[in-house]
Amino acid sequence: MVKKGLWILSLSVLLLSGCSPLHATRSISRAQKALAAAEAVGARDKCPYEFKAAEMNLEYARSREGVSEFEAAFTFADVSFKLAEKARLKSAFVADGEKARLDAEDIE
Amino acid sequence: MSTSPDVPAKSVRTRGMAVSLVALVIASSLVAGCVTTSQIRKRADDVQTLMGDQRESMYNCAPVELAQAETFAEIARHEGSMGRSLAADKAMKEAERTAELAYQNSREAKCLNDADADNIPDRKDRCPNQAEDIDEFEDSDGCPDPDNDADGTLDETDLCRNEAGPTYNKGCPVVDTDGDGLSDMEDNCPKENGPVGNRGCPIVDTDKDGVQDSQDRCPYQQGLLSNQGCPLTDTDGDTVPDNEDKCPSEAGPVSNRGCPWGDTDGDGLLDPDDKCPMDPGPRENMGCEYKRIQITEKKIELREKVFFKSGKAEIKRESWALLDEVALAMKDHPEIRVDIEGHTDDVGNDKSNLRLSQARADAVKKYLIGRGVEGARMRAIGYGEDRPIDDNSTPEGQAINRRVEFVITSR
Repeated sequence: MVKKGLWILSLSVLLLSGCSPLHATRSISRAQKALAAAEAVGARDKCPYEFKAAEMNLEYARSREGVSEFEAAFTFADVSFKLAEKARLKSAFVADGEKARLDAEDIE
Repeated sequence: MSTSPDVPAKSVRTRGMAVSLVALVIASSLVAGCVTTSQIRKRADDVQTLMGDQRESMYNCAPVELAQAETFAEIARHEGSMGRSLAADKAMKEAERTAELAYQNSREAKCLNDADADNIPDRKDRCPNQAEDIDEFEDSDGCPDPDNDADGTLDETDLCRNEAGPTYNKGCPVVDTDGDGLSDMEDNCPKENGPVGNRGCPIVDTDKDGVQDSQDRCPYQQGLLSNQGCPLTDTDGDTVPDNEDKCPSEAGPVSNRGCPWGDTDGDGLLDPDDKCPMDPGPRENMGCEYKRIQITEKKIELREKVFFKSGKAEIKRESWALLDEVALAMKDHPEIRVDIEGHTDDVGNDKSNLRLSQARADAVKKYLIGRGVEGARMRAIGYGEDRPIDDNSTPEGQAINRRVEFVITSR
């Protein structure tokens, strides 16, 4: 009984942590969508740094997932998501001449 | 691993070499792996450092390469932390290559957003359109500070840029080391207390002549203030100091400004003693030549006679000039006292002659008083016919005996 309980507890911890394949896959999927959204507003040209970095982080996250390094996959996918979001938001403001302001806020 | 005797020797050697090689590869890999992992960390840090200063320029002019360099560096760190040296090295090489590329592509000045060209990026520049003045005072904020210490004196004329001080003190704080009320900058003796009137220096008067040393040309000799503290010199010893002596090398009286008096008419009397400095004259006459008289030791000799109206004591007009000269001589010689003697010839009555001679002597005295001679200096005496000086038997002798004489009684 105790043995079964420990097994369930361990599985739960694994599934809830970033080490789980579920979290990694979800994170990669979220980053992928964010990147697509960014590209849709022209982020590849308007925010090349953020877009390229997001692209590379996503690619590496996928490669980590492929070798079952779920924690690394999760981490790099998360970075990719944040960069893609930044690229999308910045690109939306470029037309309003706000890029410089955003650059100033975000570059550090 | 042991060798069995039935195995050929060559086979045994080959197997031994293979084992050694594997061991070497394993050892090398382990050693190489450790070294590479630590090196990877250092190289990743180096890349980050390289990009640190240039990152903004890279962001503007080489964003893709910058993204690549940073991401590859992160990947290299991760691979290194996982112990995968070869993968880490490969990623690190990519990071270095792209970082170098980013660096090369962002070297132009335009890559840095810096409108005022003060080398402080606009994003960090609080005054992006005003160039920072680099003067080691708040140089990182991008704003110029024309008056660092805000004392109202602009830095370009402020001798103490970072210390507030009044403008009259050239922007420096007023320091009065000796506490004498004068700031050190105005104080000729900043470490010695002294009055303001002496520009902050103590008054020192070594020779105690009332002239302080700083203004005393002769600080060790007493002198006069009017002579800048030096004693007056009197070369000719005439009591007139050289600086006031018109003739410093010739003694002369003070009244003639130190010059000796001259004797213009050459009569032996110096001009101030000479009543007639332009005309020579005898000393007795104070340098004047009397025409009608002469002062001798005992008398005022008359070169003319004093004429009276016949039988009267009235002086004739023709004798006025003679008596005027006598009056002048009496005034020239106030020390002289005289007896005015009246004499007659022996013609006529003795008593009447006596009276007449007295009356004539009185008349002369009165005349001289009228010319300004004090009466007390003169005594009129009539002798009548008692003191003839010539023969009364001849008209010429009688004329000589009728006379007036001025006998000096004291001088």
